[in-house]
Amino acid sequence: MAEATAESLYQEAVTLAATIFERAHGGQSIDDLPLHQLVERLNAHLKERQELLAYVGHAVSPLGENHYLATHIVNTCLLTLTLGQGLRLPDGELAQLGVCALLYDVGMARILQQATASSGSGGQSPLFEDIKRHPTVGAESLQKMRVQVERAIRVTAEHHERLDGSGYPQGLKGEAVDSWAQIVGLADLYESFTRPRSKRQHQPQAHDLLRELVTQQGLFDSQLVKVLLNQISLYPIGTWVKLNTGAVGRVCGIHQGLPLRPIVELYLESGQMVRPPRKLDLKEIAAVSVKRVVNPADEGVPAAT
Amino acid sequence: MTPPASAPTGPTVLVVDDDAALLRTLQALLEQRQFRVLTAPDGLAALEVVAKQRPSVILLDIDMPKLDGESTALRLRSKPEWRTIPIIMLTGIDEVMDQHLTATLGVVAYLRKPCEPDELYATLQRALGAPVV
Repeated sequence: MAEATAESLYQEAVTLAATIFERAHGGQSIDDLPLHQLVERLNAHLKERQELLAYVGHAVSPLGENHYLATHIVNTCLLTLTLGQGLRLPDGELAQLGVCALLYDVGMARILQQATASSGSGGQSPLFEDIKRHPTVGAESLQKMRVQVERAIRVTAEHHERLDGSGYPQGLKGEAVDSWAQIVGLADLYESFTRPRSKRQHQPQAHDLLRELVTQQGLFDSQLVKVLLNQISLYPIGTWVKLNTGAVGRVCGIHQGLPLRPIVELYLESGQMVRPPRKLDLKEIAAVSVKRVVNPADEGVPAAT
Repeated sequence: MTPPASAPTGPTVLVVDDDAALLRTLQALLEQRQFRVLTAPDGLAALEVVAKQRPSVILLDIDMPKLDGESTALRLRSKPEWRTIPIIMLTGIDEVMDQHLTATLGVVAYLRKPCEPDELYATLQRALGAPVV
């Protein structure tokens, strides 16, 4: 069978994630086999190239904005697998972790469905307090769905817990937080922070989150944060940066283990647009470095670029 | 960022929003209930205010220039003395996934703009754990 393109594999994954939610809504049991098969293919693709990671922070749900949750799950799963690879987890564990990362947010799907059901077709938003119950609701749903990867239930219940006890719903601390729940929780936070927000003028930047994760001790294990930086770089794909030469460009590739030296597509040099954009690999040129993250509009780069 | 002429007796609220008209409205509503009100037009300015005078509670817009609401909430976690300030997020856009994120950033409540005065007072009361008189 011909190998799937990143795009078709991504769409397939989003469709499967939507199916998981449908089964959760119906209280139906779920067969883990398709989940394992998908995780295996995502994992193999990620090991070969970075194309799938480029969807994280930039993906618009192929099923429309109301189905964003399915995209969120897939992106979180991709990041989870990337973290797991960086932690050098054995393949068997990585596969199980990946399945947990496809199942962990069924609680959000349940809360959204309950809110829609209670308000008719209008689709009223759930209350903030309801959203805070979603880890517990999700764990209960997975028990009913009789998932075979038992650890998924704990990962789901604890993915919003933080090492310093500041998480929810239980306020667990330190080693009481499951290590896989921490991995999925970090991936979930990164994805939630960086997802595109089409209705807003201003949105959070991945770079701000990464810097705070490094500065603030206690949210996640410091080794895990270090792995995230090494795997996706301090300047993840899609980030607009200004170099010390004054040139402005967009990160188009990264080197795992070299968080400060991405590959940049230059769009502006010496105040002039570069057409077509020129690729510059900062790994190859030690004298050139990223000065800061910028908004392309502020630097005079057309929005359509 | 100027406190009212009559001395307020209630807790200090920092209101952060890039909509100047809304800031004035919220300030007036809060001063009616004896809150001491501080204001800031964006997240970066808010952090400067908090560094000078710690508010009892923060009303924080989500879609702002310079530093958005989520990034501001994240930075407010960086110092132990700021981490315990309750944050109420203000939003004009009904986005469930925004709420999903802010819940994990320590936000205690969500208010949709425009909000009714009674809802504002009730939310502040819950966040402060004290009656708003």
